[in-house]
Amino acid sequence: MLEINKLRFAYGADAPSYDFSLRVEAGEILGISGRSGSGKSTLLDLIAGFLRPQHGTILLDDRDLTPLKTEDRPISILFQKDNVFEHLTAQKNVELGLDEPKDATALLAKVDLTGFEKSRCAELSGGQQQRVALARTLGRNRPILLLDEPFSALDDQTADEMRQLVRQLVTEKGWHAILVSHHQKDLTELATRQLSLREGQLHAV
Amino acid sequence: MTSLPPSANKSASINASLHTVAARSPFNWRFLGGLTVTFLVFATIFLVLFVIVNAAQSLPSNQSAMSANIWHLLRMSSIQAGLSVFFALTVGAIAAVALYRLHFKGKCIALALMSAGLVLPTIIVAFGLLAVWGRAGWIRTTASTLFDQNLNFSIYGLVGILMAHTLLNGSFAARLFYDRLSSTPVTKLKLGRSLNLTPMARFLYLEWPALKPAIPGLAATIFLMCFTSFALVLLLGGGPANATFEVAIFEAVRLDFDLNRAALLAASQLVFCLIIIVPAANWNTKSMLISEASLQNIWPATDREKYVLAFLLVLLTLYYLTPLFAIIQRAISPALIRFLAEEKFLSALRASLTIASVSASLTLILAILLATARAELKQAEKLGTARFPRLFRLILGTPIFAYMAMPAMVLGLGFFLITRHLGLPTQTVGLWVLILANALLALPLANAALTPAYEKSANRYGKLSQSLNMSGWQRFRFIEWPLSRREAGYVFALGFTFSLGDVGVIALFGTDEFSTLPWLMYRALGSYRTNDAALVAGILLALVIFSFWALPYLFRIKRRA
Repeated sequence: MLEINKLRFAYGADAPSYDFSLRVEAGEILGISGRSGSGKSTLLDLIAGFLRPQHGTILLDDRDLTPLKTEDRPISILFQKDNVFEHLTAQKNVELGLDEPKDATALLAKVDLTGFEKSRCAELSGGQQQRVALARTLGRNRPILLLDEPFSALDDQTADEMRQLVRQLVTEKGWHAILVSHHQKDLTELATRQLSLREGQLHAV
Repeated sequence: MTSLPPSANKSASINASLHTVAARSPFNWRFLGGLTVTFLVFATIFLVLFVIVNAAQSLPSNQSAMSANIWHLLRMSSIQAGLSVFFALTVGAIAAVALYRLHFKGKCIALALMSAGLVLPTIIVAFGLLAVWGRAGWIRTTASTLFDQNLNFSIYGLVGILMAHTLLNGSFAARLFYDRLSSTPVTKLKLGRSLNLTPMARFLYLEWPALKPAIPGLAATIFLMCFTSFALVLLLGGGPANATFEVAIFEAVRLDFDLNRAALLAASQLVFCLIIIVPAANWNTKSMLISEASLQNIWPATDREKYVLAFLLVLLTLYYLTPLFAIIQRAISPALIRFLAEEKFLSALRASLTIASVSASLTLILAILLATARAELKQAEKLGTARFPRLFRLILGTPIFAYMAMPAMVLGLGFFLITRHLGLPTQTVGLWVLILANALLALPLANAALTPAYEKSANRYGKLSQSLNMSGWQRFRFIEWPLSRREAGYVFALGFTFSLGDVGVIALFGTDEFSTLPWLMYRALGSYRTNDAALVAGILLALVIFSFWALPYLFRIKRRA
């Protein structure tokens, strides 16, 4: 289980502070909604280790992740855009970040990208680029998946397909996923449970 | 008659606006302004070219010796310029990556110093290097005092030229590279770090792709600057073996008064420079100032990497700063006060400040006209109304590189010949040639700073301002000028400081009565008055750094629209 206990952060001495506490079970996708600037991305940055909390802990199955650097944390991230290096091929993008050599072709096949191994990501559509990123996430198989509005830039049909794929992988692999989005459709269709972020704190929806 | 429902009226109005936008021709006065600048620059080049070729045709008989000399100059200029490019880009990339990955107090000062490297007068750099690495310089004195060692090396020759070019152009390259690295999207950094990329993988997959597109244009620019280098080669070259065309032209005019030889050398240099300029004119310039703010501390260097980068950065900083400190040390003396009151100094100072002010204003006007025209062209391309966009981009790009095709010495020689032919007073013409040459000198960098700001403004507000039917002047006053004021300040400061330190055209037109600060310094060095030269160098350095820092603030004063 992923547990975030009284995680506190403020961007400056006079800035308002955020206080986060939540739990995510294995195989669960926790949806977090909130207005722009409410702190959704801040929460993900804290879990990923891009920001250091002033107080609180992040535990995964009772292991404390808080002191770890980003690169040492068991996380994968999917952003809204820039999830791939456009100048590299799909295969190279999947291989990057893998701890041990894995069959990139097989990973790409799992996200329906057979035949695109040698394509440069710049030549792929937005949906295909997200699939490449998902194939890499699959290869890395880190227990925490952070989803930062990953479907916002996609058309409805592609977004539907991606949501389905993500749901299937999270369930199959038992990942702990947190999805932040201000798109209600993403949250209702994908999240197994939802929280709302208001005035720096999480509230049940 | 049936009236349209309100929604239909609105839709018709939007359609009409879009139609107006789409039908807009790029050939408006804003575009024509840029074309006029291009035409005037071309006209100047052709006039000078015509005069030089005419003079070169009446060449004396010893043509084989002359052609051998040209090939020697071409070979040596190319070798030193090629090596300078290599060292400057390598040093620039190392410094930029180190500064980008390291986070320390005073980083903004390091960046400001690197920017100042762009405008350091070459004659000062040469003097500073001599003060550190020369016969009586700091290095030899320290080695002799502390270790009783007589170091046996000479800074004169190819080594000295490369050291100076690396110092000047390395800092220029580092500043440009740093801005490109800073433009890396934050999400890319987060992705790279979450993938636990090694320092080398970070360079290969994130930093190198950001740097690579800037290299061809930057390499061509540095190559041409070094190929046409004058003051550095004159002071550090150590004789004809390492001379460039510029130095050879200067010697032909000032020492031998052989105008035909000078004309032939100038014509040859023009041809070689144009071979490099023509393809370079179509390369896209990227912003030097505008970059997305990125959370760089999102991925600081790790421990071992940090120490290696810090060590390299300290070495490069020492190499960069010691010549400047040496100048300051030599300039601070009791003689300084006396020297400041001397008429020859005051006269040179007045001339330098006047020329710098006028030429900086001219640079800014030319850069604005060209940037506006390029923004119009880009907007028209976006709307699909541009005709022959590649051709016009090439045409509008040419004046930017005009100076490099026709450097100060060639331009100066052309006007020098015209002045003699028409019997005009050399001093009066010299003043205007200096202004024009210095304005053209700063134009490539001015364009690199201004054009992205204008294109960005056209991207964001082009359609809106067109649909509101704003005139060109209104667009400039209410949209472009407020959005590009910061860059305009930088361009003015750049033009001012470039002009303040230039020692090119003045080398042909300078006299006892008509002198600038760099010329005063050169003459002091030529007559072995090194103390006077040190004083001028110190004052010039202080003036350049102060102007480069202070002038942009004048453009940040906000007025109510």
